[in-house]
Amino acid sequence: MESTAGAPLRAHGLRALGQPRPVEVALEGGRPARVTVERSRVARVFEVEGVQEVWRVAEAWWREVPVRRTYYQVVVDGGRALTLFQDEESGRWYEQRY
Amino acid sequence: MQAGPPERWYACLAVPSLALAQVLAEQPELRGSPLAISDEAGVRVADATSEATHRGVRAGMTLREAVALCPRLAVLEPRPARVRRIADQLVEGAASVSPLIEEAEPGVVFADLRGLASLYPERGAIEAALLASAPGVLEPRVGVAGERFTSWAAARSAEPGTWVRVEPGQSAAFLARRPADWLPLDAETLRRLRLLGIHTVGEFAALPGPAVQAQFGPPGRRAWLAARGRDPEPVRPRPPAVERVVEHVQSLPPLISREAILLGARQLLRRALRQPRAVGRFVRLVRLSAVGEEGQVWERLHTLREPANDEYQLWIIVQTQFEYAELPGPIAELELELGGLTAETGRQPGLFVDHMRRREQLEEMVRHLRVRFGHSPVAQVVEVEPWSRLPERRYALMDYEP
Repeated sequence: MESTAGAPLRAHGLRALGQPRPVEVALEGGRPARVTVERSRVARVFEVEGVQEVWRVAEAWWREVPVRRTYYQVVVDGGRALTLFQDEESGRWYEQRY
Repeated sequence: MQAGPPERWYACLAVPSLALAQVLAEQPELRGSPLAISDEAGVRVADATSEATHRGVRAGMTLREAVALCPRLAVLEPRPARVRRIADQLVEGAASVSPLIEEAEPGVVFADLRGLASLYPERGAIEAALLASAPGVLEPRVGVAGERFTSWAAARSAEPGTWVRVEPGQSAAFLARRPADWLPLDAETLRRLRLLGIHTVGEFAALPGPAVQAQFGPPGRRAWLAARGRDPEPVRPRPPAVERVVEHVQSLPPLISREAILLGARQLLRRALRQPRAVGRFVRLVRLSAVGEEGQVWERLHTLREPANDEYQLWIIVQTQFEYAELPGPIAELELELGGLTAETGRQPGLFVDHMRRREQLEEMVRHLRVRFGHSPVAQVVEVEPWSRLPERRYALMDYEP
């Protein structure tokens, strides 16, 4: 993924691993408060209990559509940790997988 | 067709505006909309679709003028490497029908049909074979006639995907109605003809021969003969093709890091060596080309001192070329050609090598899986940019090629 979040890295048999998945995020005070993750057409809503870390990534600034993201490491109800980011170019939210 | 084949019998396989045909074949949703392709400098129109020309867009005008005439005009960048590849496909297709072929320009291939009457005895069979030799999506046309120029004019007159045959003795009458712009003359001479009020091939053919030669020199004389259905130009067959295999990949988004480009190149090399034409053969030259996202082309040719068929040895060559290359930015397309394939040579590999046996077993297993699933479901994880701050760029799955 480079210019557009979610676009595959592909050269025939070359498939990128850990592609971000689109999620819906509700904000409170500018920070994620609720995350809706859709898997297998089933939407699950997680309440964010805390934001552990926030960082920004800016890359490929020389390209027409640079990569600018704000990452949030959050803990949701049930104690699970999620890494979310907002693509500042499109405004969309994604769950980052590793 | 007449009782016996004429002494000379030519075919022309043509895809008008090959660059546009290539774009429309890849993006059929653009059909029907006004399109133009810019020149390599990105300043002028190189070619335009009929939807654009109806609105006044002409080759040679600046893009600014073209967009002013047709605000809905979509201007596309030229893709010379891709067009070249398709042009090569047309040549190879025509070569499967006749051994005597000549590529006059990309998208125009002439074939000398001498001696093929017994192979294609039925009327229309050879035309159908030539049409079938080209990708249908390019809407090729075929013209057959007793002269080279007439066969070209016939192909140009044919509807997309069809053929036109001009019977012997009918050439002059067939050509008479064609526009004078089709004559094989340079742009300046054609402009002079327009000024002289000559608008059709027939009007040009009706001029006195000596006067034409006096005015326009030997090229004028040749065009005059061609216009009268007596084109003296033969088809000049290309030399026998050097055997080669070509593989290419496109990447979206374009490959930025050298590591990703090398991975793509490695896969190309493996695929090329697996092609039936390359199996058991030795390679004399390696050509690499990369097309940037703006259409810039980078190309390298490496000639081997000693033919090789060892993947590792060839990989070292490919890797070295890319490591020292100044690539034109992000790479959208990679191509690898292994050329000058020689016959098998008497190299004797070691007899008692364990890893060779393991490799064979693995290969066998993947072959079975391929038969069962139609493709190899085995993949391997490879590092692409392990240092990247974007996790999805760090690792990738690559088809496992033993």
